Amino acid sequence: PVVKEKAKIKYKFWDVPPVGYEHITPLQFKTMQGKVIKAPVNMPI
Amino acid sequence: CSKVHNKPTFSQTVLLKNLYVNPLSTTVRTPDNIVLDPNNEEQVQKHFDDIFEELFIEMESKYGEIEEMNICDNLSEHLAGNTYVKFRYEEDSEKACQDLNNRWFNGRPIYAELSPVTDFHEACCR
Repeated sequence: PVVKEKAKIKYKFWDVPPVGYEHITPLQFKTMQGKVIKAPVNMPI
Repeated sequence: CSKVHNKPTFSQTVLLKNLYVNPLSTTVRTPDNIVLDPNNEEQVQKHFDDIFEELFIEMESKYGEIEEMNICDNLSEHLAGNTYVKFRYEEDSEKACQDLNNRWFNGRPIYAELSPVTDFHEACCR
């Protein structure tokens, strides 16, 4: 039987870090922001 | 929201805080670096649909079956851009919540927490 592999979707939004913060994890980034829980509103992609 | 909400220990629903940025409230760029025109309803809707689709596909394939997903696209600060994902199983939502807190989405970190909301039609802040 021929098994067709599901085409992998190329995501545009997932796992895209903010420019300049590619070297750290999201958890580290949040810690850097202190205890501010609110996400930044207009961070460039 | 200024009200004090109880954060449940177990829930089918994960809240992704302020995940969606409404192009009507601030300047938003697409992944192709195009500035969205807030007056172009078609463009804004497509951007919203793209985000909804990516969120749904990735979360369902990685964490488990999703029963319902809602993205708030309101303009006021209250609940702005909040995304509620109701999984079929509580263990999936717990797993998703932990993992999502260490992932980026659209150039921003995800802030995930479990939410007591299970019926979105009756949901209101108390």
